[in-house]
Amino acid sequence: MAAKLLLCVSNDQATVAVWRRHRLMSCARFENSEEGWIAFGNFLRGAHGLPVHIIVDTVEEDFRFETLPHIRGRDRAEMVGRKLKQLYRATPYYSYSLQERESGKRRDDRYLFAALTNPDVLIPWLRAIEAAGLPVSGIYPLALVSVLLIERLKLKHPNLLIISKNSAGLRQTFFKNLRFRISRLTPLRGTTDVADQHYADEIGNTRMYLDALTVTHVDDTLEVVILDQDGSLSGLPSAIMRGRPNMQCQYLDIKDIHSRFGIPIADLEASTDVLHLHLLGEQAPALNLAPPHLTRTYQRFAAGRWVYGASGATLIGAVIWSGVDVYRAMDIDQDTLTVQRQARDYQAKYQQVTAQFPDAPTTAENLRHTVEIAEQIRASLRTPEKMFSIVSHALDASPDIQLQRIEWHYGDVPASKPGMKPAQALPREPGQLIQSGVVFGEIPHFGGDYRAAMNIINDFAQRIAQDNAVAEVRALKLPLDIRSDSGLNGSTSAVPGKETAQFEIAVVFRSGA
Amino acid sequence: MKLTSKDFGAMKLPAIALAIALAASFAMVGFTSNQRTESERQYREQLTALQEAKTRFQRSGEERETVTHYIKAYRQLEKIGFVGAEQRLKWVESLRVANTQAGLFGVDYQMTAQAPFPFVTKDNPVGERVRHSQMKLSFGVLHEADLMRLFNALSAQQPGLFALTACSLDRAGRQGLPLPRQANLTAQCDLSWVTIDPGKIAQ
Repeated sequence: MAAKLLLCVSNDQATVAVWRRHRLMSCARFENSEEGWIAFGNFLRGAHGLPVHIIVDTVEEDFRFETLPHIRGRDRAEMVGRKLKQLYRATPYYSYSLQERESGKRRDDRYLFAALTNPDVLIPWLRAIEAAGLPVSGIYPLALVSVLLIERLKLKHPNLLIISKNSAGLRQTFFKNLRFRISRLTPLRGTTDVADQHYADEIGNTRMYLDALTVTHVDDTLEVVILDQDGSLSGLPSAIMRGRPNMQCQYLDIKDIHSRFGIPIADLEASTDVLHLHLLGEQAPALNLAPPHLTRTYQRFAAGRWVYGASGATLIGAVIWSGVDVYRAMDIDQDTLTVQRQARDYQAKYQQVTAQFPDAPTTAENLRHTVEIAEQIRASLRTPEKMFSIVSHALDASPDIQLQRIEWHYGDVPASKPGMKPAQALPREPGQLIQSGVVFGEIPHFGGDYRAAMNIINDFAQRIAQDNAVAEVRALKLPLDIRSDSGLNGSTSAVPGKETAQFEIAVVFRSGA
Repeated sequence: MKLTSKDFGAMKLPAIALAIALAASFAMVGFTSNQRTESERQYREQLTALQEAKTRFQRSGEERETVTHYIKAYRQLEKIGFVGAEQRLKWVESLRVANTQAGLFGVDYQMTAQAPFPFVTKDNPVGERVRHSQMKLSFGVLHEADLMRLFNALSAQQPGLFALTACSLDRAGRQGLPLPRQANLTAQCDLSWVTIDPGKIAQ
């Protein structure tokens, strides 16, 4: 928890202490006088940058409960603000706290309004704080700081009156069903040694006041918790109980307070305000009397501190992240070295083994792949010999045909000529090489007998096609184009014996032939 | 609540501190994350290298057998010029000798620049390193058997690995019976001289 300055202001004096690491330190008391203010100012010089939390313990305070219609948001703030301004025209130190919703049909809201009715009590102290440049975090009535005692002392009685003797006087704070209801301060000016009976009477008056307000019933038992820091209230329990059977007392002396709250006895002896300062150090009440203009500096201070905190958290997070990264990287590097060493061992063993291998210009895999690819190329080599042989045999049986030209092609696409589409009839794997060719021939002196010439050519083509290596034979050009989709012209008066019947035949070999 | 210049002034230092913290954090995390990523990458690389070294060692017996089995054939491929740089001079000389041996009337040739050889299977890792130079031959022959005689004579020279891709024989308008000791047919052939780059496979 961040350090802060705790100040308890009463009409006669102010008690100040530094809250650091859940402990009060440097507790000091200053009289409400010119000297006291100067001394307080000097004290503040050593508290540079600490936010100030102020308790006000004075009779010039006001607590009242108001029931207002249930509304929310800005409307509520405006309504309550108007009400507060109506109630407390003479002071800027006021605030409110929503207590509960009533159980009636309207379900109205019940508010606690609190104010410091005499702002003058704070002025000299605030002036010194402002001069020291310290931010004011909040101003809290001592009675509301006492609320924290319920939780710390595990008090559960429905009618609870907490009595404490502070530097300002005897403070009586009443809690109904563990909720703050009324608080009274009886000043001790000039009464340094007041009798227990006087205090008991004050408490008796409070009880009668509560009964009169019907906050308590006459027959209700009232639990009185007496916090006696300086031992001056040791006789009070018996004085209270005397003649009042419906009141029971719980007395806590300085040792009890020390054991319950963990406050060093030396600190408790330093000032009677130490207990409430300690409570404020642990937790500030929700109801804060400080006006916004007073806490503006603190808000800036708190925002700055939050940003510093966020910066620190970011850096710490980054350092942790980076630390994990570095640790992991070092771990991985270690593993890498181990793996590297193992790889080197295997390489050394491999080198030893390969030193006994026959001398080779490249790796074994390259040797194998190179030889295999050479074999593959060799196995795929073809010559036109096969085609020449097939055509030659066909020509032997067709003496009327005279060969003009023969073309042979070997590749992944057949020789391309118009009208030659053998690939459609021959499904084959991509990249597979096939042989193909075109035979250009003629029948000289065919005497104009196209029918006979066509028969000779067809016989020639069929002879070529009979070979097992041939997949397809197709006529690309015939002496007479008898297809219906093309034109035809000629002359029957041609000189007999002079004309030749020319033709072209495409030959496609089977894949692998 | 309206913010004033005093509010902004008060937040100047914290904002600078936050900016520095953020920048430093990003830089720090970025740097160390990169270090870690780099370490992880190196580890993966070393792990792969280890696996390879291990596998290579475990397969060294097979490798020895492979070397023993293929080295002779490989040396032969080197000898004939399939492995290595192109030997165009040797090819041309061999062509001249083959022409003489086949008793032809001379061979005209044209050779293109070297290019990747397209007719190899893609599954062979060294397939992309096979290259070829196409040679166009034009020559006259007495009859069609001379054509194969030329290529057989050329092959016998062992000038390298070549593949015939196209041939044509043309009577060129001549009619009647072939005449002796005269080029009755015109032949044109395309062949590919195939080589593999040893610089790329000797890894």
